[in-house]
Amino acid sequence: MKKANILYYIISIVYFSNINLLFGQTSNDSLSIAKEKAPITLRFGIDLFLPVTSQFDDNLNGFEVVGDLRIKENIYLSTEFGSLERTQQSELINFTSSGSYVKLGADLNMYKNWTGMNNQVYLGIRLANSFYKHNINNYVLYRTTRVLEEEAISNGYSTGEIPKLNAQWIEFIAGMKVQILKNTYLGFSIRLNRLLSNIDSENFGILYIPGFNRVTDDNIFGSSFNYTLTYSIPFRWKKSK
Amino acid sequence: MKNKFLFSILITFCFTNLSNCERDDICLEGTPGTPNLIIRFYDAENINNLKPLRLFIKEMDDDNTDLNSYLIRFLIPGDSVSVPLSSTKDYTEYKLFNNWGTNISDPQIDTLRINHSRNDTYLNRACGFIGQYIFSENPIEGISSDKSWIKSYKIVKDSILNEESKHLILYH
Repeated sequence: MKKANILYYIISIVYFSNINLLFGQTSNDSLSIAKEKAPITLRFGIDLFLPVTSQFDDNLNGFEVVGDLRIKENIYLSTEFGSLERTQQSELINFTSSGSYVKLGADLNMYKNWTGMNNQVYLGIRLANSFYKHNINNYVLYRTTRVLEEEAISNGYSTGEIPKLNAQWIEFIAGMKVQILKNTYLGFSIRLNRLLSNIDSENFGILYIPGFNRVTDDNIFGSSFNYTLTYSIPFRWKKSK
Repeated sequence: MKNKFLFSILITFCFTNLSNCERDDICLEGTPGTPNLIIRFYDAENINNLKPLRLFIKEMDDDNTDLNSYLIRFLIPGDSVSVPLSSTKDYTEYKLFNNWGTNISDPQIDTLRINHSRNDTYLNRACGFIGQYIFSENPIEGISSDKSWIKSYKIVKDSILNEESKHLILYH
């Protein structure tokens, strides 16, 4: 585990030093070209991965809506919100997590488009909040000596609902959006999540947070991804003409 | 510049893979689990002395009284035994056969019923829950009738929290 932490640390340094390099270079390049003011663009869509996997996986049910608003040449305000219910077997415990989440933040486009193109290779950051609950469906007691096959406990004892859980985290995102049709984009992003705070239950650990994904016992990092299909509506404010 | 983009994306990919590989699904060895009930057998006439026996324990099948339906559990020559208690019920029943193998024509069988309640505590992802048992008000049933070979019992500890020492004494 310690080794993984060190790796996280090293990679984060490499990751962020790259961003600095990129910032440095874009500012140099922008001197040479005088640009037309970009239109404000509203773009919204859905995550494709969740609805598709929900079809094949009985234990998963969810959706995510995404949207962004272009406010500067290469800066976008972005949001995702979604709802998720997932049942999983974790070693000795079978539990269902369900809840909804919202993520707010910004993306910085690093891709230099030709005139008329609007593709994105971006880095982003989000603050996220999830309200959720767990339900312990059944579990097997941990025993060091097992003589017979253990019976799963499916009612009473520690089974049942653990309501009113809440978690906040920050996401670092790398992703891309490619125009596939007029005003229609296909996107992919991978996300590194770092848990900021959460409401813990004494009777159960935090094994999974909708929106955050799997939580490990001894560190606060997680990861997730999404595939998006979005449609954009470009418009100009009257006064900006 | 584009190479740097690709590079940073590539690195983020590695990151994702790495965190997927990091697993904490193995319960550490030496983690104490749900404790078994430790019973020791003492002499009914001289209650301070241990009295070894050849004990054979079968698990009771709830609905079935047929001998063949019992599951063979233990054959213990000695004076102590450690048996798991039920995970799903508030009682555990065992058939205890005395002097197994020496007197087959006239077996001495007692059905020991242990009444208990339990608290489960969450440990971590890998180990899950461990249980701790507490003896109920009327903890032991099925012994000390005229026919039974177990004469009486004594609760040494009210709750079964660990396996460090005996919880129950049976006199025979």
